[in-house]
Amino acid sequence: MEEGKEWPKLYALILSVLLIEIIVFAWISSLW
Amino acid sequence: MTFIDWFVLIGTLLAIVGYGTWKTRKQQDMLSYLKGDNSMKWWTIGLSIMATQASAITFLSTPGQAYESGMGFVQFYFGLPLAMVIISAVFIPLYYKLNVYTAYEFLEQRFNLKVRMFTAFLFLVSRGLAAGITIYAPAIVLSTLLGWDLSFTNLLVGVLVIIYTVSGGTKAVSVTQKWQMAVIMGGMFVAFFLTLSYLPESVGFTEAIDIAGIMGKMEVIDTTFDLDNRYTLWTGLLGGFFLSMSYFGTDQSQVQRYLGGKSIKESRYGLMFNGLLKVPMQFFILFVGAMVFVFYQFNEPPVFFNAPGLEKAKQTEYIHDIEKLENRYSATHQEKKNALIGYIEASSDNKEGMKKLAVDLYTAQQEIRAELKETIKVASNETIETKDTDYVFLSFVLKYMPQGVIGLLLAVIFSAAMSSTAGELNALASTTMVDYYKRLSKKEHTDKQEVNISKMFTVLWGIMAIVVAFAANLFENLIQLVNVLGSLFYGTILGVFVIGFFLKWVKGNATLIGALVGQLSVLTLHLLTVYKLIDISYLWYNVIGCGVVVGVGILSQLFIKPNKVERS
Repeated sequence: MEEGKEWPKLYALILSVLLIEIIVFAWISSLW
Repeated sequence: MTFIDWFVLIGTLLAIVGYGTWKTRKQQDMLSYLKGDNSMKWWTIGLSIMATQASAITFLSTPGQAYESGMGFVQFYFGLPLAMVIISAVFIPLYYKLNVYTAYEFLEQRFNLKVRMFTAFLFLVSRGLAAGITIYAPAIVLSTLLGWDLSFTNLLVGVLVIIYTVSGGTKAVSVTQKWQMAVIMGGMFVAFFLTLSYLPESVGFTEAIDIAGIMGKMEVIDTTFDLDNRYTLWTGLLGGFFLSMSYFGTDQSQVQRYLGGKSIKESRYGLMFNGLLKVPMQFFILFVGAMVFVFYQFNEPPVFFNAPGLEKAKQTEYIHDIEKLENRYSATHQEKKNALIGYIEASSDNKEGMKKLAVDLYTAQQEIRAELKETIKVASNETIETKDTDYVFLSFVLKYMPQGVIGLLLAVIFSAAMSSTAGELNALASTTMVDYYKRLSKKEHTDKQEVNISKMFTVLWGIMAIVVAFAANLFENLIQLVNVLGSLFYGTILGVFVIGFFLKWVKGNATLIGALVGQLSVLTLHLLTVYKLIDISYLWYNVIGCGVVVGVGILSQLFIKPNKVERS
């Protein structure tokens, strides 16, 4: 595949965003 | 509803249907009708995937869920981005390589005809019933609160969807879904900002979040290990992952959305788009519900949101009990409202006391509500559904939103119902055509004939969906059954695909045995749960079903003697 290298980076980005979301949500939950 | 609301509602729906039909009027062969000529860009694919998944009940029920139990429901979507990555990396390249129209075509190339037929059959049964419920579920809420005829609402959605799905196929489904998503998100933003503007002057955005927080509505993450609890971080990550893998990777109503991509790259970007936006979108819809909750802390909420249901219960001998509870609820609300105003205005020394008072009063209010629900249950001989979360958002909209906005928000609900029904009908027709008719028919057909037959199947599935929607009214438990319906079959379907993609040495017959045993296991578990012999949340069916198919498939392969064809 010609654009082979961009995908792992994109996948890592998607999963990092998920991780950040979970951390932010956990922080929100801990506020009260 | 005023004339302006009707104008906005009918205008929006007809404009979208008209646009979809006109834009895709020239469909000549199967490639254009079932795969949209492989011309879709990534944002169309992404929006189309999201619109297919989000049904009307998502927008009716989700804000109500936040109102009642807080924002924890968002955890259900945590497995989704992970599934998007795996589907994009493993499933999409294979589907493209084999140039398939349906996901099940892959199964014949990988296993044999029997596995393909069996899996496609499971899809047709579950999705065929689900399409009817996609129409029925919002229709029942709309007809109850607006007094519309249930049959009219069922027919309105069903017929409009059939028109453009039949005429323009996959492309019509995708181009209309793009606009439907625009209406949906636009409408939800308007609802959000209006709700905030209705809060008292002393309650700003931060105070609103704080009030939702002290009442327990901002608890997003639940890390407890509890099999009964449907929404925890773990069920979301694991159960949600399996559900998303089966739904997006193997359910034709989703697979068809990305197979229409211009290239493999566009399809992948479309899935990534969904993976990135789904969690924030669900969070936002829940947050709208949390703000509706805050609004109702300062404006008295109905004690029971299904108002016609309450009226019905009042026509029995229990009227005095109900009225007493209503009065108590109302008095507690007033006290709580004053306590909350005191909390906002109090200096930091007095805040804790006021907060505790407000929370205690809210708990008392909840107890009264539970008592009232119990009374309604007894009064109506359990004929009135006492779970009223689906009614919270719409009754708020109808009572407090201005003219025009009510029409817009009803258009949101109809657009959501239509976008998911369209995706489903289109996929049901494709599977019937490609996996059954074309595969088994010995006749040669011209392109035009093939398109016409596909159109005929779309009409038939559309009629079937409308019939199921009508029949749903006769069976009270059907709604509940359909909620779990997807999960009853998804585990098995996913198991077959997991073997197909990852266990190359397991062949067709072994997989078929695994699939049959897996399906029977899930059905047995479900029956045991229905008869209360065990208690498992239906999200686990996906994990268990998939596990049994793979396990039994592997064992069968080890023990059965492969025949000549399979060896080769």
